[in-house]
Amino acid sequence: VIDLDLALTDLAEHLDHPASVGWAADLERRLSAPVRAERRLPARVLLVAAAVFAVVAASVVAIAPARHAVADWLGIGAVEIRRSDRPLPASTGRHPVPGATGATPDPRAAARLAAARRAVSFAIVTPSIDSAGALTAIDVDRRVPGGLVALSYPRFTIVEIATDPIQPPPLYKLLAGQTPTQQVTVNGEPGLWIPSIHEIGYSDRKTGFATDTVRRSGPVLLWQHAGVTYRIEGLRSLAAAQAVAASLR
Amino acid sequence: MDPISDAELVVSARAGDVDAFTVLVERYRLPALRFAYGIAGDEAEDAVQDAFVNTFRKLDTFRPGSAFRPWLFTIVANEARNRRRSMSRRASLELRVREQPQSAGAPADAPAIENEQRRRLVAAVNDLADNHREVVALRFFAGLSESETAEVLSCPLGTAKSRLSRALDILRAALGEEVML
Repeated sequence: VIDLDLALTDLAEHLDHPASVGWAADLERRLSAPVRAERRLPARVLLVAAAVFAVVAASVVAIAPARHAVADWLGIGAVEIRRSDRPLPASTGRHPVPGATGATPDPRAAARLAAARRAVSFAIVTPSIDSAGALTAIDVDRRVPGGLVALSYPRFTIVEIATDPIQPPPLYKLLAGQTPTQQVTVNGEPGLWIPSIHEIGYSDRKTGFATDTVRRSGPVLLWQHAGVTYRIEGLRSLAAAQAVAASLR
Repeated sequence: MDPISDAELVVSARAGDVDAFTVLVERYRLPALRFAYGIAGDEAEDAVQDAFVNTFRKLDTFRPGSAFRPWLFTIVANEARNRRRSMSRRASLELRVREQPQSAGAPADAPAIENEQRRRLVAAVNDLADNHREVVALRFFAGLSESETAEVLSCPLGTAKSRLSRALDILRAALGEEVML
């Protein structure tokens, strides 16, 4: 026989909640930072958000200074974008790079993919090429109008983003320095290939906080088709990325 | 010597003293984390950290003379609820317990029995509706009083009490006769 009040109090002492070693130091850094200079986001949010503005940022670099043309081309307006003249920050190592090797297949991938398909406004496509391997993770961010899904495979990540022509996503900037880009054609649509490292950021529409930046590795292939922006990150050659893009069904 | 009161620390923190606020963080980190875990599962740490940052930045809106703890936990609750709403995987909301190892001098089966009891209890908590789980987390995981719980939930004291009573009834029913009535 147990006393429920005591049992619940005891349970609180034994909850297996997360307890990161660097939590306190990270909080102290945030408390000491200027208001507009920080806001920490979990890796998952950074991953999906990064996909959106990297698309925008890369396009600006490729087509700048014709900002209006970029907005028209992507169907995204009023997104603040700028290039950074400062060096890229050192990687914190907190945010895993999509396509990291060693990821294990998700045994519930089929169910998660079905749930993702219900959560977004567009038809999610997946690579049919054998070399893609099995899905290792599926993440959805509904805060992007129409939805955003990130599909991770052992060697790369595909991000598919609903591109709302009216409501701009709460995302901004930036490609660092003179990051090169290459205009390409992907499945008959104009696209961009970013072969080197680039920096990404994110802003929160509600709070207006500028947020964390992380150093992320290219290469990235991105393009847009029928109201959806696609991004493939992690494959080192344009040909390999094009092959995956061509196999999307 | 008595510890510095929340009110004194808030006054210093409002003046920009990060160290004073850090004392408040150390004071409430663990109960806030346990409470947020009850709402947002594995995203509890991020929720609590965001809550502390937002609390620090909103200190100028804090009414002098009012209690700091329920105010803080109201912000923690909002952050944790936001995290829960944006979570794509329900599984990560499942609470877990740490297994207790065998200790010297204890009966051989004591840890196993306690671990099993906690597993059954946490399974019952996991099955609670969100509003019941939240009131249990405030009262027992965070250790708030009934009146503080009502304040965080923005409801009359009687409502908080009846909600907690109903949550405990559900837990008792789920656990069967082992629970002392």
